[in-house]
Amino acid sequence: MNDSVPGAPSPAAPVPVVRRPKWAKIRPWVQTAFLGVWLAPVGRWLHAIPGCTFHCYSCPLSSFACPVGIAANYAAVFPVFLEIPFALLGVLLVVGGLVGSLACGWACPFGFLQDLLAKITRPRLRLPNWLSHGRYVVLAGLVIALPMYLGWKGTPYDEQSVSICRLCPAGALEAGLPYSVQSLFSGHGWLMGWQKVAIVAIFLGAALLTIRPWCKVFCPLGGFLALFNRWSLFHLRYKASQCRECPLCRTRCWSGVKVDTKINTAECIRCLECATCGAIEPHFALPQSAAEETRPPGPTSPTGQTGQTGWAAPRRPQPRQGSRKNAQLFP
Amino acid sequence: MANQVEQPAQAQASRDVGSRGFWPGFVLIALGLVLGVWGIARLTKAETVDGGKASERQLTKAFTSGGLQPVEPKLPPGVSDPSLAPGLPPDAQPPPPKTKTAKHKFRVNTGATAACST
Repeated sequence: MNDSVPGAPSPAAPVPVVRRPKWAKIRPWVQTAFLGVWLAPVGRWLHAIPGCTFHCYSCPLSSFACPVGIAANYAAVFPVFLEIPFALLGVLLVVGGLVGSLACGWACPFGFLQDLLAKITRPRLRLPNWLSHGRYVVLAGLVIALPMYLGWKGTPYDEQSVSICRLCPAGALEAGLPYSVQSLFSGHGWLMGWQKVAIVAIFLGAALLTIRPWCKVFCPLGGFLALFNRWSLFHLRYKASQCRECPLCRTRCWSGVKVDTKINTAECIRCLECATCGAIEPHFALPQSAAEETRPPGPTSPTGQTGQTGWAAPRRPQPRQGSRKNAQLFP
Repeated sequence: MANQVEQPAQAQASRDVGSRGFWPGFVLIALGLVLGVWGIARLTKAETVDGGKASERQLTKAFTSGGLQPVEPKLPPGVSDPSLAPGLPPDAQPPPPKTKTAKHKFRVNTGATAACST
């Protein structure tokens, strides 16, 4: 007699072991490859085209224009020309609709720099999630409203004493520092003011204490791209049949995203650190897969259990043999 | 460290599975492509120093290379500026009245290569 309740988790069913790409090992190499794109000296002619990552265009080796600087400049001249940066909006919409904030986690050179700094000290300090709203304050205030107001008052962007470009640590580090060193060696003295030096020092100190402080709290571009995380074709998907109900995904997420309750949030930079066990996997929406995913739940899954959106019902935690981490998680 | 993370009481069935449709992302990308191509090709209202209108690419390039130049009014020789008070030397002229809107104008110098002043 079979006394199992329909819909109940299957007892002690072995979870299939699937070989998955080790995203944490691949990511630094992809970031390095993208560094070659953003820092290509032969690509100077692309300065007229806005890029999709946070990278100062005053850097001697930058190939694309900084989208944040372009937006602030357009805001400053908006009262004069009434111009809107359509090309910039187009680039950001394409990137946002395609991958969302994956560009932050895998392509941004400034994020890569912070990742490298974090490898020195292995920072443990985690910032609260509400701080990520600061990105939108910077976007609305420093990038759009303040330059527009000062431009309306008649101050050109270059002469505005408070602007995102004057406060930006990327500009100080990627442009101010190289030019100052060059000027120092050529006998013309140090160029950067003490404010910029202080910004660089504070930023470096913060990046050693916590992971990606700029991205988490201030980056207006990351905040804008993260708005598209809920619609972008590339997204993260939860697969209940692979979930062991362990806190591994939440533990690995330095952004503080509660991955085990909600994914594809605005705080996520899609570093894919949470996609290690297979329960959360990166996915690219295609027309046929969209039709498959929006299909109503069937009566039974292939494993004979009722599941959500066709996926199998969750299984009980099953420590994998020989895994020290799993043994720690499931004592 | 893994043991220090509190395990939430979360019903698996109510978890966000993250699935989404294809079309919202596709519409965003299509809109972005149209805006991007049109934006790169179009002419803005800004004038260049050579005359004519600057394209959005030229305006963007001007931002990155200090190419925005303020327009100074040019008067024909022998004609005095009508905004100046008559009978007063240029040093003794009263300051211009403050306006409520932006009256300054720029022209785009497409050949500028100056470093960013910020």
